[in-house]
Amino acid sequence: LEIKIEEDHVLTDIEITLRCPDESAANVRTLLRMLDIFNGTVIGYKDGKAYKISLRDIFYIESVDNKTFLYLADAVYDTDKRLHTWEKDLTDNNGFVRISKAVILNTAKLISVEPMLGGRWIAHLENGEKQVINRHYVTSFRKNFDV
Amino acid sequence: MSERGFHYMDNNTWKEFLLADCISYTAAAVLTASIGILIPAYMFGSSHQYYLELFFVTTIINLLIVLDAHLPASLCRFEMLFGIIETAFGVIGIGGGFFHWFAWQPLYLIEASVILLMVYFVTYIIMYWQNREIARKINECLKKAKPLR
Repeated sequence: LEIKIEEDHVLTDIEITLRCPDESAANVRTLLRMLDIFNGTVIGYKDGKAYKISLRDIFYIESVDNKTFLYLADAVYDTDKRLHTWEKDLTDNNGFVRISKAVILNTAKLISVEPMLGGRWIAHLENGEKQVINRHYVTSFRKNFDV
Repeated sequence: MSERGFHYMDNNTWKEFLLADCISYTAAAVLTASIGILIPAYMFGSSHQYYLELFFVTTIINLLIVLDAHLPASLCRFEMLFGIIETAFGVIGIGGGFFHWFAWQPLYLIEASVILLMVYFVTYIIMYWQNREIARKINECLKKAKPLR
């Protein structure tokens, strides 16, 4: 992967041109996914205040007792969107994947996965947390990695 | 898949079900045929009908086990126990009770239980090995993607 940076003072924002031999290659898609996340922000609430949160900072989104929460490395934010709405908005090619009935995981925060006896898997996250990937969602999780 | 529109058998579940069914049917057929050859007086017959009935029983058991994925998270720890109960229901209930593979006598029930446990764990271990290989590939992908983070 070769990275060239050109300064152009005419531009008002960052412009990225991706040159590659094959647009559909897995590493190109991974890069695009990362750029999507880098570019995206969402609104989360904490102590009655609204905060702008970058998608790349979210570790996972969890639904608990009909409320949905955004989990970051060291903070948790409320959200007014239901989990299935988050799933519709996020899980299309930007690294977020449904791993159980209650959790959507940001695969960019994933360190490794480990299968358990019984078909469920454990996802090890960058912040040391573990999340269970339900057996029912394992195959769609695998597709995210073209495996 | 949404929270409300919960599918009991999507494509992924079908694939998992077919793989587990193939493994368990093969293991059960090989095991009962081997025991039939080694101990000719053994209760299980090896007629064509028996192998069709066996396929029916393994299919029902695997269908039940695959549907266990929808159990509430609080019951996860009992998943293996549910699997064994479902296998026992298939072999002893359907095989012994409905298809009359063996009489419901203690000796036969013990023999059938040993076979069903062996088939259950063979299927379980092969599925686990397959998952370990897939996990290894995913972990490789994650390592390669790390410089991009």
